[in-house]
Amino acid sequence: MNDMTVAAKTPVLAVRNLKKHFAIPKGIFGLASAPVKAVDGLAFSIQPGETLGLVGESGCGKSTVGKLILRLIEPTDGEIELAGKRIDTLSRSAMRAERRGLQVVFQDPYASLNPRMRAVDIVAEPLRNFEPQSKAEIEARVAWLFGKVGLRADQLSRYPHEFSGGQRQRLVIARALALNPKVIVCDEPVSALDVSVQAQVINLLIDLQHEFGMSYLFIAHDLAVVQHISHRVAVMYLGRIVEIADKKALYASPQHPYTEALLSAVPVPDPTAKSKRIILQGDVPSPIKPPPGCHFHTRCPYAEARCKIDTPALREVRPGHFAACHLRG
Amino acid sequence: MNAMPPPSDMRRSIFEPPAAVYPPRKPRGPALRFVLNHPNVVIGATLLVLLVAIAIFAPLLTPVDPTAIAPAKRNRPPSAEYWFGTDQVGRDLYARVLYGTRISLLVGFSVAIIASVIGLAIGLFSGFLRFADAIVMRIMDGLMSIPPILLAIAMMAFSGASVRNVIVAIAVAEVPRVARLVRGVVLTLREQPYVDAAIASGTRTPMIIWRHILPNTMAPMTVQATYICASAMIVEAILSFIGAGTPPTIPSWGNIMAEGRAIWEVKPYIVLIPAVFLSVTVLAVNLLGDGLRDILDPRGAKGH
Repeated sequence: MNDMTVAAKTPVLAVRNLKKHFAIPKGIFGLASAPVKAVDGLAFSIQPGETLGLVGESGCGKSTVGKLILRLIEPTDGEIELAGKRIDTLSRSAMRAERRGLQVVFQDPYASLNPRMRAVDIVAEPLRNFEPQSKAEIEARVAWLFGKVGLRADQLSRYPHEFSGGQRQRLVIARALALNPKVIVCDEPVSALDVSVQAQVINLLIDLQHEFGMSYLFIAHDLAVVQHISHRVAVMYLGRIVEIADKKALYASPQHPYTEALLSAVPVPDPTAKSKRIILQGDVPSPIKPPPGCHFHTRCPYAEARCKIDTPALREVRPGHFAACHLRG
Repeated sequence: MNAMPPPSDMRRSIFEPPAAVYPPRKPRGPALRFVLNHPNVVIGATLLVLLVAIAIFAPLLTPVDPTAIAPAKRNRPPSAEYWFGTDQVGRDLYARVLYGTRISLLVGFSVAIIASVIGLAIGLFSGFLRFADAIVMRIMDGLMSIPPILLAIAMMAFSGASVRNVIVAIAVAEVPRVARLVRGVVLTLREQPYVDAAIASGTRTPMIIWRHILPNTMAPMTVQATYICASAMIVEAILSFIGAGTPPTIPSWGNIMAEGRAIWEVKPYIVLIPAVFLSVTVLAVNLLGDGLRDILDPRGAKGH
């Protein structure tokens, strides 16, 4: 995606200073509480038709970001804008109207589908919520959606347990597609699937984006998958974005030491390739007591004295390439 | 085998073992397969159907009025005329036990339905409205801290002996158990991704409860209802036995046992016969409940 055209458009989804602190009750009366800063001051935007990959290891807060944007949980602070309109301040009923533009695909295709509903009713649910149509119209629309995601019309009246994992995820995608949303939050949509099925579902998502032009916030931990589907990639560490850049730039020349280490861990399907893998020392620090300064300094091979005191801001180290590191740019 | 078999046959023989080792299975009809897979349900349901038939057709099974007193024929042992004998005032025990089935089943089924419906409502309310949860569940905990029989006795002392009051008293004691179960299920279900997906699809809360929560509480509820039914029958018999339940004018198994208690050592069958009926009824209901639990568990046969 060209930077000039990006700057001209209104982002379809914009997030500023997004925070979510979970209170953990301590003591017998649960009075004193130490918040877990699951998401701590996130900012990014997604252009129409763009896919932003959000990567990070388990527990870094990436799934919380998805739930915050969908308003399934309430943010502690920050702004969320959908197509230029703030949705974080909307009441429940006003938010409901905006949900047309914002849909979701979850990780577990088994738990994402009510086991007691037929496939046709599952996909028709969002349609029935927003478009009062006749039964025949809705069924025709659902059959059309089935075709779009590669399911057959004769599978309409089946129950979820009669589908395979990949087919179930296609069903989930059909449901997300039903209202023709502007943004689909994909929360680890393929990590529960077999590798061969992963590729099919990823390619289906790409094809659908070409056809309908929606944007994806693609949350994942698999860097190869993210590289395949994303236009831009954001890397999260302990509730903060440490680097965000165009996919090619980020994979070719990572600016943040954490991104560098992550990318060195991606297996290369070439036995002759010499991998110089960066092994990080220690574990991810507890999000209840994150280290002061740069969150990553406890494990960073290049850490200096000031990394332990100053929190680095996300700065533009190259055009369109942002990193939160004192040592770059 | 005389000659070398052609290569194609050799290959086939690897995949098709000789018939003698694996005799062809007899095709089984779906009905027979159900009986073999779920013997608990079949035995429990059969016994229960039999007992319901006894309760409904009691007047056809005996022409004798179960409350008719015949002082001249007191304390008769079981005979061709009096199958189960007679009691201290000459009432026909066979007729009394048959009519007693009505009370046990009426109390059992009514309590199961009433406690389930009220408990379901409280559980849904408590599971969905977090601010109400703490208060409602503490009340339920308070009710549960009183042994159900004592609670029922206390309520009977306030209200006086009648079958309706017995049902109400036992139902009140059972409601907290259902409420707790439903609340637990609701708390699990509302964390399910399909509920989140429904919220994200714009489904309103009442519809989410109706479409996504309620159907998935039905299986544990049904199983719990059978246990409540069984427990209610026992509590009814206990209440009647100690004279705090069904009024003595109505024959119930508890009443019959209470009246036979005084002459237990000489005429044990007066206590034993209604006791056997009670045990079999409770067993039938519990068997049905156990079997239903296995059938309704989606992780069971379907295996997804």
